[in-house]
Amino acid sequence: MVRIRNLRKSYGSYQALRGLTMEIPRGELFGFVGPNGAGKTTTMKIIAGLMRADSGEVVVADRMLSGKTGQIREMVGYVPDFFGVYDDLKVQEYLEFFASLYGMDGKEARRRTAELLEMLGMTQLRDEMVDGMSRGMKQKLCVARALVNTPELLILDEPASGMEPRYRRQLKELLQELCAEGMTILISSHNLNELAEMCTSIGVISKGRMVMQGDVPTLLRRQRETNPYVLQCLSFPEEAIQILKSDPHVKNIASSGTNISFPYDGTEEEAAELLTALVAKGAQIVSFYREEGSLEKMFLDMTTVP
Amino acid sequence: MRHLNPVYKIGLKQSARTKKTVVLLLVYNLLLSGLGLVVFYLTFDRAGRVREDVAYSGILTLYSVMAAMEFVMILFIVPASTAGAVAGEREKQTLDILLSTKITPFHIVTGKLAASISMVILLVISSMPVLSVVFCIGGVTVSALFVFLLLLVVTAVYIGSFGIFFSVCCRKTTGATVCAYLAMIIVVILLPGLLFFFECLEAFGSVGYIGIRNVMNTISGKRTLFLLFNPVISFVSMLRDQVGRGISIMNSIGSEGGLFYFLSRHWFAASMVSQLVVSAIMIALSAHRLNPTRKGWKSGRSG
Ligand SMILES: Nc1ncnc2c1ncn2[C@@H]1O[C@H](COP(=O)(O)OP(=O)(O)OP(=O)(O)O)[C@@H](O)[C@H]1O
Ligand SMILES: [Mg+2]
Repeated sequence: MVRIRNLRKSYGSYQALRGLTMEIPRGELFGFVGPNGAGKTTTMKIIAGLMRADSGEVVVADRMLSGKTGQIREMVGYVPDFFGVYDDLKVQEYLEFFASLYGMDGKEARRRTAELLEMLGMTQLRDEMVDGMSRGMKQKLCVARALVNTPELLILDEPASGMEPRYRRQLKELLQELCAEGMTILISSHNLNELAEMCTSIGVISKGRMVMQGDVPTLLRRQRETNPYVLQCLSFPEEAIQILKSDPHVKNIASSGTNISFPYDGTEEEAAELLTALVAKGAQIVSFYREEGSLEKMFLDMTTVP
Repeated sequence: MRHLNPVYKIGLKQSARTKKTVVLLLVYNLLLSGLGLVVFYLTFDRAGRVREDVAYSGILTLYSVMAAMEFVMILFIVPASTAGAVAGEREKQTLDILLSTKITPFHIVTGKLAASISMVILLVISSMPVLSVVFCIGGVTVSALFVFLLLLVVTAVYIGSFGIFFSVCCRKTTGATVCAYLAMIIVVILLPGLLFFFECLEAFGSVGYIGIRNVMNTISGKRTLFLLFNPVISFVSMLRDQVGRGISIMNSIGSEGGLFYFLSRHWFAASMVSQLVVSAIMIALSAHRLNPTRKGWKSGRSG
């Protein structure tokens, strides 16, 4: 759905994007993470046709993004990282206005607006003034607005930053539902757990480059493999320590109290043999496990602040 | 009817809801009727008492003064009302959202301008009862009134197209407003002022002294073509056509013959067309500048 090659963009002398390459297959719910200032917003604006890249290739839905962006805009929904709302407009009027921007006539716009309000559970707020609403509500309204043209690609830039947990959950479920219906979604967020829960794949961007991209389980597994094993034991005789030290796969043993942890690069079978040997030497082991992978740890490992 | 430009529709809806509109309508009509009363008093009541007869040519003066008043108010209202059109969206952070939809920059620009012009038309129409004093007494035809309306709309489009242009170029409404007023002043005052200055120099060079008559007599040549772009001259030429008074620039350039003769006879129409052409160019430029993916040297400034 989106294919980006070697994208570059500078603000003055500052290079925000330095050869970004990424690919979002159709129907993915793609999580976009990276430190502040990594270039997420810049990338999303370029895809949404709101900014011109200095160089590189952006293909959205098999169409090259160049001068003429009209056709692409028609099938993209964009939720910016701020929420622009008009004064003196009611929620319903706001949505109907955007519906009319996509060429819907009055009746059609009203129907679509009602549908969206229903979808986001905002029907009772129909006649509320937009500028009087709370931040989270405005963000919800912005999501509704971006869906007005039933886009094929939905781009959300930190859409949930001001939302309470219930709304976040609601948004998550809505996005998963839309994704299941075939919409491609690109969402950036700083809440990694939330992204890990809902996204099908994730891209990590740092200093204007994609440093890692893949589906969530694979990333977590890969992350997990670099994590240390942890041994919890009641007693650990000297012989056992010798065994541990002599194992070629074991690196830097660290112990704190009854816990021993060490990075291990052998296979799981080898780990099992190691455990058997340790027990044979009289170690009283309560648990033996590899630390869980987390996106947060991966994020911290993969990225540096620009 | 095809879809009306949604940007235009929403603009009307919004301005119908702000208090500003009501205040503007009130102040506009108060000023106009206040001035109308003063002129009315001066031309009829006082003149009648002093000279024991009523000068009916005073009606024409009344019309001229009220029309001028209305014209000047439009000149001052339009820059303010158009300068915020796009810059305001940028400040409210709604511009990116608008640009991310299917609507084209051209439609945004024209929708915004049309909404501002509609406000002007509303003002003018609201002032009709006041202006109609003139018609009650007679002396000015209804068709003259329509020509006047046309002039106001064209002037509003013309000055407004500069306002919109600066609204697109400036980040802040304040900056855009300042630029829009500057542009208005340049077009309205500086342009004829400079021309007049050069004419004076020339008159001085040829005759050795400066007098209104010799300046008017030497006014000539291609330079006066610039005056086609001056709304005040258009207004004056309209008055000349309508009430038979006005300045003699057109008469003196007419003597050059050819194009100049044609212009001297149809100055009003020619200036309306010239100003609309400039407006179209400004609108096209604005739409181009508003396009976030245009090629150019300042592409990163949209946010
Ligand atoms: N209009 C601009 N003018 C100048 N520099 C800019 C502009 N917009 C962004 N930048 C710079 O470009 C870099 C990338 O910005 P961008 O907004 O894309 O980051 P981000 O990944 O979205 O960050 P965040 O997580 O804080 O939203 C930042 O260092 C920022 O300072
Ligand atoms: Mg951002």
